[in-house]
Amino acid sequence: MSVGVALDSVVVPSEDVVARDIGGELILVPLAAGIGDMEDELYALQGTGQAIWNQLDGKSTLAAIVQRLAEEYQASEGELEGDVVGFVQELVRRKLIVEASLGGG
Amino acid sequence: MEVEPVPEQQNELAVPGSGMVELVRAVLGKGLSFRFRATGYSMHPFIRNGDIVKVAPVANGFADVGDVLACELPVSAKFVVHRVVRKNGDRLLVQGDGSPEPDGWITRENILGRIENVERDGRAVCVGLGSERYLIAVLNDRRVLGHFLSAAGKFRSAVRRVVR
Repeated sequence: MSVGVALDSVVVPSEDVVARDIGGELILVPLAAGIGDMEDELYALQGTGQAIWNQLDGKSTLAAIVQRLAEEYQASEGELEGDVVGFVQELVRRKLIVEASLGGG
Repeated sequence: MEVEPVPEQQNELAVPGSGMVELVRAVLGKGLSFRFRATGYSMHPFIRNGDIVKVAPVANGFADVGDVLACELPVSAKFVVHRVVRKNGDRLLVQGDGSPEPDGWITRENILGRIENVERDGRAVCVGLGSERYLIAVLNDRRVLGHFLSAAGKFRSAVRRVVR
């Protein structure tokens, strides 16, 4: 399923997710029906995935995030755009992040 | 870049004990319960390796003898799911049902939550969290729980032989 995410989108971690940096990995536990369930779904983000997540401040557009990551990783923005948008689309599809206007954490 | 859930069989490996403390605190801090797979044998036979336990917030940190708590041990900072076997004012002595010795005394600051239910092979485990929990705690505190369970096991085996 394709999710409408573009470079001018602003997204933020969902309030229904607990995220903790544990041992260098960002562990995400979705909260559903009043419970955090490690037996249902548990996500671990590393490297660039973690870097993208840390940039989701609810103010920056994905284009701005791409720009910052391009500087940090010394990569071209063109190379990163597809990766960032695709990654964010996947997180939106899994309801781990939401559009900022919908109210996140 | 792909985002895939950690496979179920790897969940227990993905989060070290100190990480579990952080995650449990974070989830229960929102007033929610937390469900995870228990590992180890220290609560045998009432909670077994691989059982799924659900831990819920404890109101005002209140817990009593017999309760099974998820807690962080004060000295080792180890995450454990063990039973309160004795109480002295605000201090609680915790011990695994299958452990020969208690872990030591904890206070309400060390309590993360109380185990509400246990699942094994998709079914609820009925024994260990009901009114019998007090008896289990007392027997373990007096170091006779093992003898009691052994005798109970022999009795059950004898009954099965007779029934056959």
